[in-house]
Amino acid sequence: MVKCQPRALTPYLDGELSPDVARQVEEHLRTCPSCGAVFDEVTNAADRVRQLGRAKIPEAQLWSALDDFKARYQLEDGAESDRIPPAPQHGWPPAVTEEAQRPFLVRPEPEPQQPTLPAMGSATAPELPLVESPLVEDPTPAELPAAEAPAPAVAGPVPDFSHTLTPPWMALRPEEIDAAADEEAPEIEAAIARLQAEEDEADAQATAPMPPEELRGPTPAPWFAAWTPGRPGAPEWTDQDDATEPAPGPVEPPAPTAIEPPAPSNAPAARSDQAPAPDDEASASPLEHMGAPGFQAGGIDELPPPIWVSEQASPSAPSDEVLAAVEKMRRQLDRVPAPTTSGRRLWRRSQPAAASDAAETVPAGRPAEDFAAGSDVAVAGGGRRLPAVTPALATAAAALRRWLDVAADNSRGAWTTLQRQSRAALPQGLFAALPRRLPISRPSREDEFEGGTEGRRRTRVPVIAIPAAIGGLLALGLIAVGLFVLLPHHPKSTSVSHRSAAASHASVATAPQPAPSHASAPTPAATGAPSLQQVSTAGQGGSGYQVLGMRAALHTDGVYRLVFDLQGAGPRPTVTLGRAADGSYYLVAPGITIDPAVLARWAPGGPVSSVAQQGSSGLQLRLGMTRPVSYSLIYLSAPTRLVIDFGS
Amino acid sequence: MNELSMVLAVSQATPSFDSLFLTEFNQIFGYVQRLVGDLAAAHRLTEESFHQLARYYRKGRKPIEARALLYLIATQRAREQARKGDKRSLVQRLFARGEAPLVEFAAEDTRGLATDTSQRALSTLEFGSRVVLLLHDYCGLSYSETARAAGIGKSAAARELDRARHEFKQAYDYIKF
Repeated sequence: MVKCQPRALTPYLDGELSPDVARQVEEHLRTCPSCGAVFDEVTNAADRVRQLGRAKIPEAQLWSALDDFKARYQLEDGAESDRIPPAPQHGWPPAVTEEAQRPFLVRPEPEPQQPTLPAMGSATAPELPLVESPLVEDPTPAELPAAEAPAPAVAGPVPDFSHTLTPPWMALRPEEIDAAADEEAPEIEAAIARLQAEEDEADAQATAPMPPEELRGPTPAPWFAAWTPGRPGAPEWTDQDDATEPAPGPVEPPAPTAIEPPAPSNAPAARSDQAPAPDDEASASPLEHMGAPGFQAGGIDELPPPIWVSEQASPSAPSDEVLAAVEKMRRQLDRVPAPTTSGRRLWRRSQPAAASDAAETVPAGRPAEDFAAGSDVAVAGGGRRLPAVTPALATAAAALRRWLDVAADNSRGAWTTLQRQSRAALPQGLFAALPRRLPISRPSREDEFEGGTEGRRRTRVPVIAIPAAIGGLLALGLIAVGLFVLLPHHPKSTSVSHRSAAASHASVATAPQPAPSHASAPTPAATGAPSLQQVSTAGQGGSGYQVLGMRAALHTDGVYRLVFDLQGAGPRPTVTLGRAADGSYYLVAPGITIDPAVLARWAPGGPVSSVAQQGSSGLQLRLGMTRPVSYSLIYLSAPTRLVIDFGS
Repeated sequence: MNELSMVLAVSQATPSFDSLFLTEFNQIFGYVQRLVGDLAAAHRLTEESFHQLARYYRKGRKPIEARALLYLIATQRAREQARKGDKRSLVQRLFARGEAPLVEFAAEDTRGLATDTSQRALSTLEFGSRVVLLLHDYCGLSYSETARAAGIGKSAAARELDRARHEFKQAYDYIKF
């Protein structure tokens, strides 16, 4: 490289040049001392920046803060993802394996805590952890058929009695329940017959061979093992209550209180009454006859679980009364309108029979109510279906159609009449037909940093969010404009200060200044701008600064530097330096004051032969020069200094 | 594929938020402090930068060039701080949340960020020159990462870096005198 290219020195220092160009720069640096000086300067600057101090926050503090970050933004654990990827087929080279396969991001082990003595009175018993049981809502009528599905049990299908709990709203409308039960008496009778048939079928299945041990679940209690029909050693028993069962006919529905869960203390007695008595020992307890250990002695550990415990279903078949009550209750719930509490509906209104049949064909995962009573509307472009058209929407559509027809006929009288009718019909219909889900979405533009190796991903934003956001922004803009108009803010005051600064700066150049001591040396202000040449200006129009000291020295490359140490705050005062026609230099700074003693202590040197203060206000120095020199003016901070460099 | 290319391929994989936070927090803290010159403001801006970066990592996503993105966010926030100072806009005054800082540190942890001659020389540079000089020489970013984080082209970053080094040297000599 023959020609100097100082711009290439920085990339050469950073190793960003190609090998050929770097070789040429290196050869040039050997022969060009000026480029070598520039290269040393660049190297020195880079080294000084690299040696700047850094923060050293301990890693333990960062780990605790990182946990907060990850919890707040629900971030995944990225420690494992930064590990080296799986090795290729031929394996990683040793250098890569040793360095890169070491564990990354290892959380430091917490310091072991010193064992502390327990406080007084606390070393009695360990505190038991509090276990919160989840709150389970009462099943709604729509959920009841699904909950009715019998769970697989060893002794046959056993219905789940968890829904037999009397919900609190049952006491609210007993008269409606009774009325509905009277109307549904034939249905209740048929249901009882159907359940009886299912019960008989379950009894027949109970005699089937036992499944393998691993499929039978937990080991049943001794009383259960002895009582289960079909097991070896179990007594044969028949349902003797069949004889006392009422004949088929209209069944008087029992009161709702009949299915109240019995008290736990009564449960064994009720169960023992329903259990068959073998042969001639009808008065004795069947469990006692079967030799259930501990039951006769009254041991509560061997008592069967109460029937209202849903987690452990009773192994025995439910009685007819219970089944009838369950079926009746189910029918009643389907009939009774949903009670409301303070205007809020407790559950959804049940659908008619046809709608219920249609809902059974609904695929899993889709709410059945969307398919009930009406036709579905396919939304173009969305691919999803709106909720069913309600009668209100049909009313609204008809009203709108009539409205348009009348408008076409241009009949004034009919128009007025139908307009009034449509106003009453449209809002209700349209509001009722609003979809509960937003079916249409469109992709949003993502930041350029989003994406990954698999390409950019698209997030879908509902269409309604865009006009809502625009409306929100407009509202915020209006609020902001209003508040900015009402409240005082900074930009106005800033612009005013700028104007005042400009005015003060103009006054520096135009205001009359006191006459200099030498008539042949006019001040720049008195003689105006044309009297000065090579005018240099610095500062922002500030004031209130004071000169604490003056110093001067010969700097590098023959530069003579004159430094004024200043004290003050705020914007820096405007300083003007120029050369007059007589060869002297004038330094004018109205915002800076100087003590004559400070000026007297300073000894001229270099190209400056004399310094004299002109006037009584501000800094107005006349610098006598031995020869014409070039100069520059600059402010330095921390501490504030005014630096004048006189060149050769 | 030689060993060097394998190592480079491993090093260029998109880092997780955990690794960025643990390895770059001190660096970002020092970088922002060198830009704005205020320790408290630098602490706040650094945490805000990581808050913003964490939003790119939600739902299992990963941004591309995450390190450059982090420095870009920090640079933007430092530029806003240098331009407006502690003044907050009306929206910020109305809706900004006053949250306690998550990272705690002692005074000796930030002793290296004390103002010195180099810091004074840096404060005399323009903001763009300061950004490029600090990103490359202080934070150790490559030319491409520096250009990405500064929001300029690679050649412009090289020119700006060369100019910034010369200006820094001149200002340093002025102040050292």
